[in-house]
Amino acid sequence: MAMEWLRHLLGNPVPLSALQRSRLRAIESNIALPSDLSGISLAQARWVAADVESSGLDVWNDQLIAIGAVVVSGTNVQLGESHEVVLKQTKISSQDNILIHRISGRDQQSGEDPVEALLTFLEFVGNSPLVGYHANFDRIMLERACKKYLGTPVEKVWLDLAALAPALVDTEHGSAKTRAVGRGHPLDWWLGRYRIEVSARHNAAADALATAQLFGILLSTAEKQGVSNVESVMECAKDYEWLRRR
Amino acid sequence: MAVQPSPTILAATVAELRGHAPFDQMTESAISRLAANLTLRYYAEGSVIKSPEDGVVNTLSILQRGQVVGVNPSPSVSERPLTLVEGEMFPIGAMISKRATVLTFSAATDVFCYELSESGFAEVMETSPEFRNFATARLAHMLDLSRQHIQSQFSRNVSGAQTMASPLRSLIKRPPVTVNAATPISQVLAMMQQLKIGSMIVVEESSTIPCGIFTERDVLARVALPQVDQSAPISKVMTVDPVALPSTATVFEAAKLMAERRFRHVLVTDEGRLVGLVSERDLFQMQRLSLGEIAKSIDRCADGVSLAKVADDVRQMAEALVGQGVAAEQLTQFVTTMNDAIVGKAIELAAIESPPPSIEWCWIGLGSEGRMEQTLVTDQDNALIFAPAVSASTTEIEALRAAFLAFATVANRLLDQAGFPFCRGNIMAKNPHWCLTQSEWRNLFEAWMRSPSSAALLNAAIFFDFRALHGKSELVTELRDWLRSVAPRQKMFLHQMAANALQVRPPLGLIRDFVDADEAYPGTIDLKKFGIRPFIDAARIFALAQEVSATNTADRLRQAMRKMRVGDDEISAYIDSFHFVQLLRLRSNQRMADTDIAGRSALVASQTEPDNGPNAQMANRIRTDALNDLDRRILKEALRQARKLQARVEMDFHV
Repeated sequence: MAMEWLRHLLGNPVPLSALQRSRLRAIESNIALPSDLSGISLAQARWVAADVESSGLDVWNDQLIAIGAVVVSGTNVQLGESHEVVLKQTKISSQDNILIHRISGRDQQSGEDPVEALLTFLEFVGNSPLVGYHANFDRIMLERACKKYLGTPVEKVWLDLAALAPALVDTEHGSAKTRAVGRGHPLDWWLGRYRIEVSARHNAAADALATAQLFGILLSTAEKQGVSNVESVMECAKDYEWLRRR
Repeated sequence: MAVQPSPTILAATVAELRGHAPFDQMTESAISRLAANLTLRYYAEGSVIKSPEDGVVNTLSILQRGQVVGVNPSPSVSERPLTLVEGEMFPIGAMISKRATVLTFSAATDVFCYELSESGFAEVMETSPEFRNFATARLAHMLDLSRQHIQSQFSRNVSGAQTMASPLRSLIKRPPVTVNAATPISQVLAMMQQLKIGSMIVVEESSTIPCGIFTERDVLARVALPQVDQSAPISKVMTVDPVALPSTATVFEAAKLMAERRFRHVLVTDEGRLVGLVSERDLFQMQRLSLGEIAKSIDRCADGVSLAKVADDVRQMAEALVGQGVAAEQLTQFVTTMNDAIVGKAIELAAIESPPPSIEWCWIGLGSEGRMEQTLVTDQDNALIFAPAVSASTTEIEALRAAFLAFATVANRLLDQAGFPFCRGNIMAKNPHWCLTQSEWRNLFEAWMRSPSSAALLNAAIFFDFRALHGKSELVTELRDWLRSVAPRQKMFLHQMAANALQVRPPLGLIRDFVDADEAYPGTIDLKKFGIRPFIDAARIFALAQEVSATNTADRLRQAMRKMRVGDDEISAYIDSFHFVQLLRLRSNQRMADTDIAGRSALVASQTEPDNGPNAQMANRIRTDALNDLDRRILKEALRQARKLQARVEMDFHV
């Protein structure tokens, strides 16, 4: 009872049902990546490319509105293994914001119950690592939403293509060291470079598909450079992040 | 836990696919299921996507972005690589027959392919007839789609118009009225008046098998004037065994038959059973010009000027038929039938002005006229054969020749007036070189075959397509029989002819659109040179080698290749391809004629053999980027068939 009260205080509007609690436990018990990522070859790996839409760009105060995701196994984007959901909003986002993702006020109000939406999404992801572009934004948005509605942030491992892409592909920014200093290219730059067309930019699912296609290219590039397992791909992105921060 | 796939992602995939055949024809549910079964995969430039070493193919690829080339890895095959463009599926033959691919497919640029697993392929083959048809009868199906496309464009212009390509079935509005053969004439006349019908079909006793027809036009000539007893049975005055066509025959076929034989009615029967009657009036309710009228007005012509007017009607009619999606084979047949009639009339008129000697002679059509493949506008290619008495002296023969030349000069002039311009190469009957006796023709042909210089080969390509047009056709038949019997032994000549034919290779490998390499006309391909000649040349060589008398390219391919034990499917693929390129050429010619006046003179020039001059060059060229996606792919397939046919020539004649 005390826990319920505390949840209300923290902003969780509705307590979880027994079934939802058991689903959350199952998710949390299946969340950890295998301990030996170097043992998973790129051909065997399953990833989930994801993208979120929110009420604004303030990662600490804006609300999560939609999630889109698609599975990448090996280097194949599995179009049928995909998912998209709009979360029901209590407060409709601003007009300017609606013009970006085009999820209308009515759609926001008739969205899926956030608890169900998040549980279903997390179950879809399973223990696969998530892949995003400027993935920190997507990660924090999701974790804040999970904290708010599920009572726990459900922390997942994310791979950021904004770090992986320049680590693997030469851009006009020059050598790995000098280009690491710059802020890197926006996603659109990479999509243009590889002629990846997005059916609806800033639609979570369409952006997730574009992200997945870019990831397919990067995985194939990585394989050519001798990067052969999941751990090495993660390391590439991490090294780049580290260099950039320095 | 299974979740619903993302509608946005599926919709984006469906939208991509819809841009291409057969996906544009599939039902929404079938294509959505297909999309959910697809994966999207990237291949870096240069990487191999599928090769024969992979063994039995287990995924079908649909090219989403970039270009793929298919190369035959066998060193003995020197085919040019096959370029695949966005929307194309590969390797579809191998996927259907569950075997390894013959070609090695690799990414010419960075490539994305949709990939479909074996089970996904089985599912779509099962659920979508459009997909299945496309996959199993790729070429035939594409040709159909293309024709439907032209037709639908046409019917948008003229809503409700009956097109010439529709089946006769669609014209039958009521069951036919019939009477028994024993019915008295008086009773038949009463019925015709009462039912307000212009004709009565006569059937054998208690059956639906028609044995005759009686029309209101027969009343005057057969009943009233001869004062026939009206109690006599109708069988006494009916036309016996009227001409019938199956209900699947096209309106055009019926129209052509009526024009040729001067009928006004054609019975429609299926397996001997009467299903309806089609009259000339039914056919041409919407038609401004009728074939029958044209044929009759040719009969009535008295001079070159009136012939020119009819010839112009023929041209307009032909253009209308192109617009209605009539197949190229029927269209060229129509133009040939009408032109034959015009030529025949011109020769009759010439014989009045300058009578030919009263010995046996025959007017000969050459080139496209000889092959019965004339298109919208044609210049003259003709010759004459005559048969002097065996005892005739050289002087007597020369005197006869002079008289025939005078006659031919008039005929050639009349034809020029009628809109068939003089041949620029002077291949006409008024040229003493081409106005010869039977033995002179044989000697000339023999000389060409014995020493096949390039001039001799060029001549043989035009003259060996000869056909009787007017006069004593037996003379031409004898010449043909002789050529048929001697040609197969002329190995060196056939070899040279084959080598000559193989000098022009249809382009296939070039980038998105297989344009030819002529830098003067970027972005275009010469359809006559690369799309038509390879078929015509191969057909001629095979016909000569296989003792086939036919001159028409489709007939030659059919008859000769059957003797060569080539399968019917393969032969049909060649013939369909040839006709498709013809149709494309007709359509682009028509567009030129529509858009500018200069186009018309370009059309005339385009028919001259050999081609030269910029007008002739442009008339046969089409911009490949102006074609719709479907036609572009069929053209590519047709050119591939041309290459395949050339490969056969190469093999058979050891070039």
